[in-house]
Amino acid sequence: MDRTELLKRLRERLLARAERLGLRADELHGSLDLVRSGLLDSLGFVDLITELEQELGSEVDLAAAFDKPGATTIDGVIDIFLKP
Amino acid sequence: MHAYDPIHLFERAAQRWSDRPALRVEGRSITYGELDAWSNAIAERLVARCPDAQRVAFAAEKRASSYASVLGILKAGMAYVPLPPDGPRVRWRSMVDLAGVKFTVGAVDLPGLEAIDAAEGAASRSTRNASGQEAYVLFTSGSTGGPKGVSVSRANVAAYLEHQLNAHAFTEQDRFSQFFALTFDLSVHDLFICWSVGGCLCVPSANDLMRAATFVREEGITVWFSVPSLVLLLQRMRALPANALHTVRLAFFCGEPLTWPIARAYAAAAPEAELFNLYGPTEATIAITSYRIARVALQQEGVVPIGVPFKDARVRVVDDELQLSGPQLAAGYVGNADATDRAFLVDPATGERWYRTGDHVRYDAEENLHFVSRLDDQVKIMGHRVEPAEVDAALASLVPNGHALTLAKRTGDSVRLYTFIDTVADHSALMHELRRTLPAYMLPERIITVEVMPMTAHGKLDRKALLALIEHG
Repeated sequence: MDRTELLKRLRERLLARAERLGLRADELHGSLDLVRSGLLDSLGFVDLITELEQELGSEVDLAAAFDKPGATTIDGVIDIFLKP
Repeated sequence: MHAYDPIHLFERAAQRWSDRPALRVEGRSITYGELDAWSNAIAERLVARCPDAQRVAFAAEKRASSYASVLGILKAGMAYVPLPPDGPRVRWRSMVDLAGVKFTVGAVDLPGLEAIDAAEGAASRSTRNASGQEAYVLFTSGSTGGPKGVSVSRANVAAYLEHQLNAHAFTEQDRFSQFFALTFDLSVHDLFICWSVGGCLCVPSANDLMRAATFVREEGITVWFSVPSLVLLLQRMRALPANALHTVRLAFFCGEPLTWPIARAYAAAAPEAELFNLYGPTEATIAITSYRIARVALQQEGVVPIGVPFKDARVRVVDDELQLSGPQLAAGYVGNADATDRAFLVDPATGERWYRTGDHVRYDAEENLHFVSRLDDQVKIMGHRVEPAEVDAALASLVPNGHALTLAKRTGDSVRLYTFIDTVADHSALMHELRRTLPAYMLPERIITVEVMPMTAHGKLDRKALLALIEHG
């Protein structure tokens, strides 16, 4: 799966929650931090990664993923899966 | 002055261990000598610019200057008021107004406040000696709308330190985790237990919370203190294999109920650690009961006891409710005499003050206290105290023609809030407005419109019926 496709899936997954929080779809850009923005709490963030793992059929090294700065942004999530 | 006054203990450590590291933050190490000089400089500037200020705020980011500010403000004989870094500015405003804050250390993004320079500098010695005065004002969720500020004195903190420093053998070789936000009183344990014994306080960056196990190994953490939720997070991240936290020799948990499965997972990851479950509301200063978790007892299910009171603490159970008294008891809530009178009782026979915790507890056969439940609607979300009614109060002006009722629902390991309103409104616009006034952890998962609020046969709101609506979308 490429970057564009993963971004699309991620946005679809987050859109309903974003709307409930009063965020517009165009605010779901790559540098948005999912935890700091209040969109997800830290446990919710880990759940998101776990769900994506199941959907994509791949297991990521979560501890290593968080060694990189910005891991909880939308771009960061994409990198976890595309640049392991 | 109290022998365990936090500044007295810090200054004693700074003299003795001047060249040892006191703080690891933002990728650098700061020695006791450097931190002492920096905080003296801040104290000197405060006394020069605002000698009569009682309370001074700062943006509580996990930066070196925040730690120097805490010390500097206390050394100036003033109390510190930490502002949550991600907190809505509306909330900062009510905190600053309630506490009567006019000055900050470092610039703060709020109009009408005068900033005192937080930059590093050197001044020879602390300028004032101010034991017995207020140490800090920390805010918790209030049920009548808006946050409540708890005023805690240096003598309160000293009583906490006296107990803990005598109960455990901390040494200058210890490296302390500093997971707690500075807006949480549990951070006071991190800072001042560490700085009393000459240890090194290791501050994780924002990202480090998600990689806490790696952080512990990199920094060689020997004393761990966190909410149980952090352990759960690590477990979910598959970051807690056996031996993952092998450097830890003392581990403390506080802030929310600790379950035996979480304690078990932690104990396996930290085979050398002695584990303690602490309990205490901000109103009784950091923690006031402790339970030592024996490794042989780890195979249990359910919730770990909160244990026995600290040596000088007084506890009693009245109608199932735990009440607290003794030297750790805070003065009350700033600018809110009504809330203080409701929560702090004066015993007419003895004149003793007692704090009503709102926690339903019971004793077991070994005289250990067990937390059973809350007697009111308060819930803990990642260690934060949340009064669902505070969400309702924030909504009151937004739904003038209706009512809002927020309920907490536990699903698996997590607690989430749901808000019901009995009027037609744009939910997205309401959430947008709530984001401006409430911290992220207090935002409801969803707002749900009902035609009428369901009532029970006794004429009370039917909470069960409302919670059932969540499952049906």
